[in-house]
Amino acid sequence: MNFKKIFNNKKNIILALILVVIIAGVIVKCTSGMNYALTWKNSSSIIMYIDNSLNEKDMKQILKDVFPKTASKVQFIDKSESEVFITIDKQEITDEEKTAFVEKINERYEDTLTIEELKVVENGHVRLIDYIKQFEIEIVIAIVIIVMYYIIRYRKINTKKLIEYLVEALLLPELLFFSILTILRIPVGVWTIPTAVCIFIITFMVLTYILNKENKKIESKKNKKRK
Amino acid sequence: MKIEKKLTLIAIILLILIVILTSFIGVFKIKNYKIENIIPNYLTSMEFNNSRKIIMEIDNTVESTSVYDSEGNEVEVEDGVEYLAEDGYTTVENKVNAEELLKEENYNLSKSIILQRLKSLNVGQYIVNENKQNGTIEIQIPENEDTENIITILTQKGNFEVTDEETNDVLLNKSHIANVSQVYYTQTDGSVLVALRIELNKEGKSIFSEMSNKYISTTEEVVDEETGETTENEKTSNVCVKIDDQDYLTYYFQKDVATGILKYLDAESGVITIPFGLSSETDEINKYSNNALDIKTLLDTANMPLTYENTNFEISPEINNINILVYIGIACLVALFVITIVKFKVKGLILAGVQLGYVALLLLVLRYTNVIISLEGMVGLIVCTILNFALCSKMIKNISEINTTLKNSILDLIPLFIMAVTFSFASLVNVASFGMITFWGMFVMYIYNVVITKFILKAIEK
Repeated sequence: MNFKKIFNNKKNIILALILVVIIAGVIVKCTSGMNYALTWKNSSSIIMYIDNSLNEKDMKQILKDVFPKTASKVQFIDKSESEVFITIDKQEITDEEKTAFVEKINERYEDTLTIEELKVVENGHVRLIDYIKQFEIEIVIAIVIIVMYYIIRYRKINTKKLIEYLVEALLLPELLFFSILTILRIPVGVWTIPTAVCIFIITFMVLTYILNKENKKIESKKNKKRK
Repeated sequence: MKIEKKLTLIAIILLILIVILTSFIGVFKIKNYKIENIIPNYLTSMEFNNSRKIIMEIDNTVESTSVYDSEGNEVEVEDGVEYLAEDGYTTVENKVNAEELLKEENYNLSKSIILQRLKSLNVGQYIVNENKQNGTIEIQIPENEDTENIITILTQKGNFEVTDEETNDVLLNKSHIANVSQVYYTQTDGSVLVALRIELNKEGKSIFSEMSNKYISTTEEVVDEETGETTENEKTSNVCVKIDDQDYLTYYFQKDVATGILKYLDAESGVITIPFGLSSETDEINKYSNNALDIKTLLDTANMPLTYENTNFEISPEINNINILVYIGIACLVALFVITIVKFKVKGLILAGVQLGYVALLLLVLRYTNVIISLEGMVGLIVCTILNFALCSKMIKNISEINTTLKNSILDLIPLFIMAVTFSFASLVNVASFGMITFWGMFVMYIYNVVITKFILKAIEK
């Protein structure tokens, strides 16, 4: 194998770099998994009710004091201002933390809340694959029809080359995106699929532009030959 | 330029202005002493609305207590008697969920049954997470008029049984079902009977055939001892079709039924038909149909292996500040207009107005076609706006070859159109939203540019 020749080609170098990132992503995924957003990851929830109206800002401050450097989310229950559902980036909440939390709430809202009145639930994480499974058939159908369209429209281009382009366009950007998410520990959540869809569209736009260029080249060559 | 063309141009510009004002400001009318916008509101997905959280925790309550003597025999517990360990008695607590059932395999099975039921109930958006350590399952579904019904079906065990009415002996269960389908029988008076057709498998059919000889209606001749008169008494031996201990049909096998008359228990074809209601009103038929579909979902999925304690409540949206997204959208649009004006000067200014008209028209179409806007849908909206900008720029550059530009652009956009149409049929609202918005975006883009942009650009050129 002539490595010098392979690495002289710019495209090969970029491909090699992408492959390195993808392999690194797979390794990180296998060893430490993906980092999920708070509502998607292993977390704990507190369901709490008091007689006073709760304020989101105050609640966030209390959570910051009791669980420093821990992400949390406050959502109100049943359109009421005195019942909340709190999600905390912690797999287990200790009794000390519960006591501190209850004390802070009682101090701020002059209430008589007890630890027993708190409902604490330990949540599991959402699996990305379960989410993707909800539209896997549509993805497969769309890809099959798009590939067929490209093969028909760009039939003048060498089939092997065209398939190479299509495989690269279909796999590399998405794998690269998920590898970057995994390596950089970017949380996977509600924004992940919209971003992936965006990448998918951009890839196909770029691919169409490249294939149009190739098609024009072939046509101009043919025209020259005719002349 | 001819006077007619000038007038047409002015009319088109006015039309664009009206569309922009209608879409971004609205059309107001006095309704019930209030000024109301008559343009329909935007429909948004679960992330932007209140949703329902269902927490299913393993039921750890003690169902009963059994007492065993020193020889291991179960003792019949008497009131007021203490069964102490020092006397050789062992007390065992029987929990609702036996200890041996509490394993990851069953937790996963419960989760997969819930996922199947959500799919079968056509729930457009859901998040399900499972704690593999304690088996707690958390579900999040959109809040609407179907939510309560969905929760009932999701949390039910789904146990199907055909029992003897008198002895309660189980004769058939879910393992004997081959297929369940919803059926409609139109009666001679035009009313419709909504029913569920449960077809049994080979084993079920053979048991069913045997049952047909036992569970029938018989007549007995009873002689009155005092008067000596003979009377005929009809005695029926019934079977009960139960789902989670609720009776859905109590009937016997009818013999000599004329053709064309529905048999609820048909031994010949091995079919049980559960009627849900008879009506000629569409609303009622739909109601019965939904009830039948709910039961179909329970019968199509396995029984929940564990019993859960359920808590459910409505929670506020995950993204509660939609305004930020709107501001970002406006900022992107302004940036796009600035680029257009800098690049194409006076033509760019007109193009920016035309672009704004496109966005306004697309938003109006989305409101009238009841398309749900999700984050993925917003991606579709942004993509269509950028594509329209690119197409208009191309049209400005090649005014003399506008038709070729439009034709080539359509060919280039076919992959995206395929994606939009396919995704429109997705059951997941987020993906369907992207599909529908992109579909309408591209459809409006083509019509708008062929009719309006092309005319304006040609008029400017002249």
